[in-house]
Amino acid sequence: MKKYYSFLDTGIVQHIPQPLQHQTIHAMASRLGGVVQFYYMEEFRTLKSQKLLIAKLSMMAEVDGIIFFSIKQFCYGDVMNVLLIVEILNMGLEIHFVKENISLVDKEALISTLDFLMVVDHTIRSGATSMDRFS
Amino acid sequence: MTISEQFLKKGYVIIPSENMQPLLDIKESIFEICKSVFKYDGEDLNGFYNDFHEFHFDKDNLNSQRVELIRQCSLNLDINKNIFDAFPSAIEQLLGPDLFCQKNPNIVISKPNDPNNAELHRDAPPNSLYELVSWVPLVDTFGTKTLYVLDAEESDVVFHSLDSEKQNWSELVKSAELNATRLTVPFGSGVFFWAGLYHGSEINCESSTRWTLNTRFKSAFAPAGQKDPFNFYKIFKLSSITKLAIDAEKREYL
Repeated sequence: MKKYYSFLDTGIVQHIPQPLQHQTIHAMASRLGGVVQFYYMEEFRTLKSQKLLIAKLSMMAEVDGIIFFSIKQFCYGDVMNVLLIVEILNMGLEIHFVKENISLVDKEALISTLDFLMVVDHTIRSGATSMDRFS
Repeated sequence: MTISEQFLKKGYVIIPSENMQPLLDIKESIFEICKSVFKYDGEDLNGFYNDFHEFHFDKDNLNSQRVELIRQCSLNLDINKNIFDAFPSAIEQLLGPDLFCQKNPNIVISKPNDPNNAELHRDAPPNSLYELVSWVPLVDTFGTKTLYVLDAEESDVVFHSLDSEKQNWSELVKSAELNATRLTVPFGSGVFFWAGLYHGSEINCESSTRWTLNTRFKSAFAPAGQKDPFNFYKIFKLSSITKLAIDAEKREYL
């Protein structure tokens, strides 16, 4: 049975509380044929830098991967933190995003998805996903 | 009047396909998947679609079977590509060269007298106003076996009347449906409409079943509305300049 670490999205707990994030992450782990071994989440002050995740990476090397609640956890900084995604994949860890239903099981998966992730990230940063007048 | 002029005036256009083959192909491919999902052992493709209600009596499971059909189609077919290939210059003329499409195109089955029709609505919650909705029937659609739309001007009236606390929803729907245009769309043609239009369907009072594909295209860099863009879209095609720009950025990461 696969083992995963779970990484909740601190930036969104106001709208999607921790228990709900836990439930959906556990459900995804189950769909992947695995279980969640333990969970972490950033401090509000480390949302952009992802310091906590970076600090815990070495101890996560023993599991099969990390299940994040949202890919937006890599987008709180000035640019999408693709370098960190690459670093995690290079450790042989899978990355899964529950909210977007995106799985990056290896670097090849990232390469085939990265164009899409970057275009969407650029669009979000340009303000193009903000509330439309007619919303 | 050009397609763009018609679109700007009304907010929708009905266009005959430029290439019929992609629509014939997708109709056949969906039929093959339907055979296993609906346990159908016949070979009459048009009979299957139009007369679906005459052999499908499992009313309670129709929606779960439809969801399974969509799942299998999303896994094995590329409905967006077939729709685009049938109407390529029209879609590019309306949207441009950098395109996202809906990740999982939808399939709608409307049997005669099925009370679960799609009431007056705009795509929610709300979708991007920069989206082009494509509605492509797999059978001839007409009368009550079709889509109705309110053009841009009428949709604007509905949109603003929703702000009024005095406006009763049922009365609003009734009056909107009176002003709506019921579209006659033969198999081989498609409707392309602006996501800001109110639209819906009535109870199908004709004697045959309606089957339609609907999906959405959007300029890749246009606003995404309230749908989560990571979840709802995927790249359909990118222009050469965008590919160059993205590739240059990616070299920083990979």
